[in-house]
Amino acid sequence: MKAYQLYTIIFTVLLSGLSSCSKDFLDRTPGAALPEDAVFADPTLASQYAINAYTYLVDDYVRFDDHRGTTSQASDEAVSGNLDRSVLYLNQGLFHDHSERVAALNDIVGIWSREYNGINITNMMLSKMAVVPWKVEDPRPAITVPERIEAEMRFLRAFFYFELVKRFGGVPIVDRVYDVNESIDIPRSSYTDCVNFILADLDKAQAKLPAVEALSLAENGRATKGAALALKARVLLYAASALNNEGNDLSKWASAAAAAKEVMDLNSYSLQPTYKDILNVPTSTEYIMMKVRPTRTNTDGKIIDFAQSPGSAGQNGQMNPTQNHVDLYEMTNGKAITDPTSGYDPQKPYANRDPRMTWNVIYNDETYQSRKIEMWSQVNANGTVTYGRDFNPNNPIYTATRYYCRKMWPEVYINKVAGATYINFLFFRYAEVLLNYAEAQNEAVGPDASVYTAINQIRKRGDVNMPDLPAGLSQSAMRDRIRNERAVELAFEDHRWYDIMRWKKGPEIVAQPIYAMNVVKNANNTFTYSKVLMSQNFQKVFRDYMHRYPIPRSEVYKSQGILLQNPGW
Amino acid sequence: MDKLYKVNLYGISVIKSWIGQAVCKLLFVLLFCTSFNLYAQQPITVTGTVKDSKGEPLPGVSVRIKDSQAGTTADVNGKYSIRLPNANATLVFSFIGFGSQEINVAGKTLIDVTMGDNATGLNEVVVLGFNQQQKKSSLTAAVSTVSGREILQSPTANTTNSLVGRVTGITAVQRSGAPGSDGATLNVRGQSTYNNSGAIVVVDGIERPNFGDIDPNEIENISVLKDAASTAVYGIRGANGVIVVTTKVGRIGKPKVNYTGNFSLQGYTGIPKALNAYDNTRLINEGLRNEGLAPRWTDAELQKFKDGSDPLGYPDLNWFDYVTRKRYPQTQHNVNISGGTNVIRYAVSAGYLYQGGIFEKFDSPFGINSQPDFKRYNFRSNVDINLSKSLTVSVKLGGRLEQRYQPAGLRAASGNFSYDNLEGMISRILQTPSFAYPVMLPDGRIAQNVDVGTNIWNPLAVITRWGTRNDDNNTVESTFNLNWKLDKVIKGLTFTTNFGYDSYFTSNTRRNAIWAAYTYDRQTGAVTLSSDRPRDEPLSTLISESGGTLRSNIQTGFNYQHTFGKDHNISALLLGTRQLINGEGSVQYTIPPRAAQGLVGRVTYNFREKYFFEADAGYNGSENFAKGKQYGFFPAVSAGWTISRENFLKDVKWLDFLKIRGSYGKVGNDQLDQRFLFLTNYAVTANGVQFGQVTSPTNNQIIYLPNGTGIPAVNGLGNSDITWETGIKRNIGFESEFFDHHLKFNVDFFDEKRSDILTDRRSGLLQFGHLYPSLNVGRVYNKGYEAELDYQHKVGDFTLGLNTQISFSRNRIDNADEPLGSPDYQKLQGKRIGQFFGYKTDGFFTSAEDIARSPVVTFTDRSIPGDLKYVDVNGDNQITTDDRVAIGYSRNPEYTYSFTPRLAWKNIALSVLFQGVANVSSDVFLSEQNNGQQMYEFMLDRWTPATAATATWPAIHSRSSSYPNYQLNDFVLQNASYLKIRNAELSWTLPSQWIKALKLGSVRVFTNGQNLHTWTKFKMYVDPENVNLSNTSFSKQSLYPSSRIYNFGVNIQF
Repeated sequence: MKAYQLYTIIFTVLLSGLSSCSKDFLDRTPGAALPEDAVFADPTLASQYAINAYTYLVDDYVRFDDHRGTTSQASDEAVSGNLDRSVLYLNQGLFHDHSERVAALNDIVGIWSREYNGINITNMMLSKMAVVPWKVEDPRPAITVPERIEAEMRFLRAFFYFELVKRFGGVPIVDRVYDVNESIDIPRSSYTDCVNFILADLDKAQAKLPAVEALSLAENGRATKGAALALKARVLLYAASALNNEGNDLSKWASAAAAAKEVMDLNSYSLQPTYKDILNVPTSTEYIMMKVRPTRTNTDGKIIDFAQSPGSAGQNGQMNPTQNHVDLYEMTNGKAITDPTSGYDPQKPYANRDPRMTWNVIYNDETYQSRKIEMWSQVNANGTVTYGRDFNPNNPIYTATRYYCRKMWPEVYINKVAGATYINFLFFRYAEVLLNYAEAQNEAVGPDASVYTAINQIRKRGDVNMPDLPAGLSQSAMRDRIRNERAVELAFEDHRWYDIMRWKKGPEIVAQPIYAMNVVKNANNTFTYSKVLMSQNFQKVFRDYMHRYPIPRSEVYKSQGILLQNPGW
Repeated sequence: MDKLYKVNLYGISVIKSWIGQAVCKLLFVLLFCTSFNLYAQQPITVTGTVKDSKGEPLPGVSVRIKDSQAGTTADVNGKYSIRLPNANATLVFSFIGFGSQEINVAGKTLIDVTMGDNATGLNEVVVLGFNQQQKKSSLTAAVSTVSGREILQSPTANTTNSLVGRVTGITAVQRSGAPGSDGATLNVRGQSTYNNSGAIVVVDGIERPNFGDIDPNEIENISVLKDAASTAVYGIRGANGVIVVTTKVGRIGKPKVNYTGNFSLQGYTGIPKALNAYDNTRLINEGLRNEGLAPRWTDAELQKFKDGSDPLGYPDLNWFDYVTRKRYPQTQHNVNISGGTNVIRYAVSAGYLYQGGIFEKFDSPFGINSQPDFKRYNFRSNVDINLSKSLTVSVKLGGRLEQRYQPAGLRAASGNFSYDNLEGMISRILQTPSFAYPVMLPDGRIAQNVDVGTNIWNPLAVITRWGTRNDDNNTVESTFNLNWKLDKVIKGLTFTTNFGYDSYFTSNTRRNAIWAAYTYDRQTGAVTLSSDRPRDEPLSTLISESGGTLRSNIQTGFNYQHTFGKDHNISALLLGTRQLINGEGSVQYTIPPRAAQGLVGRVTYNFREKYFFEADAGYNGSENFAKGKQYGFFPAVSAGWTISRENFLKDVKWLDFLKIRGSYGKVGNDQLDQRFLFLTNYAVTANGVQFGQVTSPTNNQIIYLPNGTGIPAVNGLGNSDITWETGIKRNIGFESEFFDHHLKFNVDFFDEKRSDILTDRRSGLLQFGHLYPSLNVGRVYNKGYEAELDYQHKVGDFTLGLNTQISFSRNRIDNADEPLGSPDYQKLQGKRIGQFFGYKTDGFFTSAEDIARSPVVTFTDRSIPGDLKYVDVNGDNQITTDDRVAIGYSRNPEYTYSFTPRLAWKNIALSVLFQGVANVSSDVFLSEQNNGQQMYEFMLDRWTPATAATATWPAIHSRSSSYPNYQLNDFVLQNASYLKIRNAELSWTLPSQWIKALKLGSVRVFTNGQNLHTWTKFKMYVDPENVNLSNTSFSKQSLYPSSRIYNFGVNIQF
């Protein structure tokens, strides 16, 4: 009886336990895994893996701290009206803080991480090229052509490394996939070795990449031969510049000029007739390579929370061009405003200026989006002060300089009323190639006719129509004009900051006094303009060692003494 | 659901040997059973009545012959009759809540017994894990308990707020007072991990997500299992401690109907004191002048704010006062009926709670109720049935419906910038300055002004015109229990099964509206439509979300208890456990059910209740680890020695009891908050690279290999070695009672080495190109002590008592995989979990010269006299983020202490619970740097050249992002220590002759209160415990204050 009871219980328990689970009770693994081998056993999957590398390019202007800062604001082009820390740290020379305290994509550790992520994908794909059973169909879907994928991988890897060397100088060259247990604590290669590594990739890439004419519209945004050559021209220009060419080896300038010439000689690209929508058209003969993304909607933070005037219902109009930048635009007669014969009237500061000023910045009393922009203050009879709707000095969401940036806030874009605009990020556009050519050629052989042709082409653009540069400029005068042209033409397009660094001109250009405009509305509705020095916190620090970014300090801490810091940091 | 337990022997040798041991033990026991039968000389029968201390008969008391299983139960009238084998036997009377008593029969045949109200506590029965019960005096583990009666003294809606100060080893912090989500964060013995440090909660033997919303009237008692000896049975999940809640069951007796009603008024414990418009605008001007900027307001305008002559253009409104109310109601009702016969015992209960919210009632054009509230309906039915003398079946059903309401909800597609909880709304109220705009224009249109600052919306409009949100939680927790005494097979053996099946269903429903707001121009009087609120939109259709979880849990096995040869008391437990949780999560890696299974074993031995030995073990695993690495073995050993039972202490009259006990063991924590980390995860996403026409780009699908860069749970490299945290815990405790049990003193010392804490690979170089998998490399050391002193003395009709408790724990991170080269002073290693880092300050700058000769503050160049002077820690003559060092403590207190004097006279009792914490910091901070520049009263004591000597606040700055003073520093970071009158209760039990006249059982009326007073150095007015961590889009000071509660209650027994 006793035994019977006990055994019944035990038997029941065990039986029901056993019968209820033939499989392991704890095996709850989610299904549908896609092993690495499977990815590279299928050409389509492999290609989809490969194109993921594109997402690691630096592909937007407003990228610091999500959408709160640009390199323009780090340089002399603009300020951050509300002193966003992503910009402020750079302005103060606290690059480590920019790197460590700015959460979203900062320009130091953010880029370091992003580019090495991209490099990892290209390395992986290049190592698997031989493994993938590429189909030999005819016609083959463009996406799975192995030669092209390999070329794209090399182009992208070169681009990733260039983004690194342009900021940090020589970096560790990681050219294969490392295992999780392998040490990847490898030393930095020299700047020259990095450039050679990049050029080697580019040479292989450009040979196999399709010409832009062969690119179907559906593939817009993918790498082309022209893009590879344009990158090569830029890489060589940077390598020839003062920062990286201490002895001013002219042959470096010559090869930079030759590379730019190679792009020009493709005859695939030409300047777009209009400058005012240079970033806003779906396609353009000027675009060599662009980031393809749909229109910015009327909730896009990069506009409403960054560029748009609160007077037009923006939330933070913090992208504010400086007076320093505005002063760079010539008069329509081709003379600088500092030239006493230019006809510049400080009380009509925006009259008769290079039209590109109007397309790049928004100034007081300009008619914009069917209304006058009001950035004035007015002292009333009873002593109270009133402000125009686009300006309020007591609230940091309004402009700090009396300028907003039109390139980042296109006219069609009206918050919550009408939306959807393109602000294309251009990796390369033809005007830059011309400017690269002019700069390199001027350094290599002096201001020859080809230099004039290149620059004047840009000045002659349909809606710009500025007079040609005066003949007979000296090499150094021509250098200054080219640099000015570059500042104006490529304004706010993520060039200026890096140009200043490669020219080693930070202390002269960035650390100069930063000015804003003061606009007072008079009783008779006229305006009084005065250039004012901005308050201390908008002034910028730039010391010699800052021409190269510091290697992310956290990485130096992780390294066992192998990864060496740039001098000065 | 796989219904019953199966012993899983998958690839494990440890378990086999372990089972082997268990079987050996059973055999050993069997052997003893048969050989030692020392029965019977002269049987006698003893009868008597059991009464409680008030002289009322006490039914249901267990009457047992010591050292045997034979026994009976007192009947409805408290009468019992038991047949004894000899006249020299000892009877043990025991009853949960009353402890037990041992009486030597010594030939008597009539023994009346009065059960004490736990006067000594030593005989109190403590509920441990897996429904195990043990006499407190024989515990070798560190367990503290709190009774349901004590919990009921706190008129709080959420039971988690009733524990603090009443039980050692618990730290409780109440972050928010929002109705329906005001539970406290509980930690057992502080934190031993920087990952999930939450204790697991066990209700009636089954692990359940929380216990805060169980009606406190349903709770019999709560045990806190603290050391390895008590939690090893929970094995892989026991390391953070276990909170065991037991609900009330019926007792043999006539049906008892019990009604409790509580009627409370809540108020806030603290609220920021906003400056009026005049002072506020005056200080704004001062801030501008301080920086050399033009003042914003003219003197004439300031005058208008002061005299209120133009309330439309120059209003003065304390928005917080305007939209909140001082007192808001809370009511609680509970009816329960319990009773039983020898066959069936029952306890059924129904409860209702209403908790009102802080906002005033306002009319809304859209019919939106502006007052948040919380309603809870609780039901419970606990039934025990004796199917036969040896077979008992219990069914416990507990259900609740919780309904939470708040005005304003998440506007669709508004992202993380949302008013989705009350804290978000309060954030805006705090920032809307007193001078901003009137509530409404004279014609009733909502006023607003974008110039005041970003998103400074009209608070009235937010709570009356922005929508509604309803959250419903439906919970049914059922527990089925079977106990089958197998004395006929083996004496003392019981087969036991406990099965829990729980269903949790949640839903939330939102409706959104929008309002038109108008800007009044103070100069011209013109009224224009505000650009950010352009139109009225009535309530939208319902936006609804719902979800649920099903949990099932089974524990089955054998329990054994026997005494051999009078002196050798042995008990053993062997259970198989299984748990399956279905339904949380929505993506591939979160949706598979969570599964766990294992074995539980426990063996105790004591010799004459003098020497105690115990071994406990859990062998269990979860689905969250790689095959072959799923199971862990967690053993613990413990021992105790009741020194006072030794002969050499027998004659020490003042010493009643002295015990020393210690435990050592290993426990785990598998709450990783991420799942399947052992898998190398792949992701395919359609939102890949866009190519093609800009006007209609094509999204090219992309594939992330596991070396992608997303969050590791989605597409990281797997780490097949991922495992649980392991804690090695040590505990040593002393328990003592003196002077005829009047004085009790207990103290415990503990430490824990927690290792294998899952940690992001902080030392991995980014050149690797993708995320390194997380590793179990973190280590934390935690140590502390707990002490409790209780004194009670009765003089005539007076009873005086004092209870004092202190709990301390301090942890230290020993490894968090930080880069080797980082400077030590900025490392987490060597510091406590949650340690704040910031600047040290050294008073105020006294003058421009002082600024000039001090290190440059790099994050501003707006330094002015009266700014905080930061200390240049690294000596580079610059103040940068590198000068930040560890300051203050963490958000979790290291010390929790309490003292509770109590006094009773006849039927009147008074107790006051003082409770405090120390070594805790809070970064909740109010400054003038908010969007609307609302300022607070303490800013009147700011630094100015005239007040330099007495200033307690830095100089005022204009609003900007370059203000120097409020970087986290040791001025901003406040000491959040406090001492509170956490609870006080005065109760009066009506004299029985009155009650008899009313034909009632008993009536008790009481008044009590919670959070009655706070002493603190914390400067920010508000409750130092409160901080907004729930809606991180808003600042930490966006908080809903904890409630101060004044309550009147009545308890009637029919």
